[in-house]
Amino acid sequence: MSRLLSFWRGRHDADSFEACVAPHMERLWRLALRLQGRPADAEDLVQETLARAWRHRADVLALDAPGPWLARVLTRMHVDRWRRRNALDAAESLPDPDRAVIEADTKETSSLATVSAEEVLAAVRALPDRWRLPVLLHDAEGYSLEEIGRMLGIPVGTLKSRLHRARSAVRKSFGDGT
Amino acid sequence: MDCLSVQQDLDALREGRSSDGQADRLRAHLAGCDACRAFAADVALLRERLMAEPVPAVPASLRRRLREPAAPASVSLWSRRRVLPCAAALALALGLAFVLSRWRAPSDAPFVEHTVTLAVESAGDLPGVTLRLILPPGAEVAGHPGRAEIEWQDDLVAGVNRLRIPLRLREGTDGVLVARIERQNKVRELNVLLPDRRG
Ligand SMILES: [Zn+2]
Repeated sequence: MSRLLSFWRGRHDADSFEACVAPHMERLWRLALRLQGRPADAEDLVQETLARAWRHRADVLALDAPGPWLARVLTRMHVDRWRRRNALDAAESLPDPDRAVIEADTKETSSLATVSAEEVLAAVRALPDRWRLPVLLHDAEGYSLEEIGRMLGIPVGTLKSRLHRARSAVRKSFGDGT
Repeated sequence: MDCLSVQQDLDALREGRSSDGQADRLRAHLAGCDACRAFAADVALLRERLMAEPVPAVPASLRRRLREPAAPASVSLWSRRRVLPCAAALALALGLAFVLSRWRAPSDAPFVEHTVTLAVESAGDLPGVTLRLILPPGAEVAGHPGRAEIEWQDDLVAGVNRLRIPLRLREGTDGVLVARIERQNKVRELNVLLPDRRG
């Protein structure tokens, strides 16, 4: 790290910042689009992430791999900004699905083999956030459950069950699941 | 092994994180269980579809923003939209506030979707702010049917804080959405006229 760090420090702040963050822009943009759905909202989310990263540029520039840091900030902003999980989840009239009994998926044939990619993606987009986030971060973006646990502040065991429920729900949206 | 454990441990198996014994037990179960095999096949397909999803190019505005990270966010963010200043409504700790609104009306729907964006400019970080939305009759927050009020805690950061509220409005609804921001006995209210077709 030290050689990299002294290299960064030798340059102007803004140039260093751009050089450090630019390689991660496509991944951040894709994640923001997936989380927000609408491009205008995704753009705002990335703008806010960049603003926060700039305020913490000393920390960002000191990182060997700023990608996960940026993804974590972006994801947490998405979650925190207005969907502050507990408050809004508590306001839902439905019982907490995580507390319901978790069952194995018992359907014995593939549900997704015969549907189009677009239909599968639409089914993912239709999931509630608490299930959609683990699927997007794990299955689409390739973060480990431990990394996602740190991003979302959720125990790995809970994430595993949410991921299972999410995958199961996507399958069930194309059949009754029995 | 039971089917649920197998289905939840597929990722560990694929990523090589299972112990030898556990991996053998998982494979043995999969070989003899149609349901878990179908589940595993669908998970693989789901991952494949998600990873292959095409992503549009990064907008030029974001590239520009990256080149000028120190530029005030409000300049690049607000210029795209019409801004309604509500300076009178918010003067104490929070500085200025703005209300933006975007309108989207799908045809033949009993509800119309309507996103209101509140933006609050704060001079510094303000942790522990209470936000409360008070909705007029006929309006609800998407995902929270029938609720006339929603309240939660949030932190405001220095600069512009944007709060997007996806609403569902019964056709013909008009009224005022009240957004109340409270911190340490200071209360500020933003009133948003619904429906609001500006922007
Ligand atoms: Zn099984």
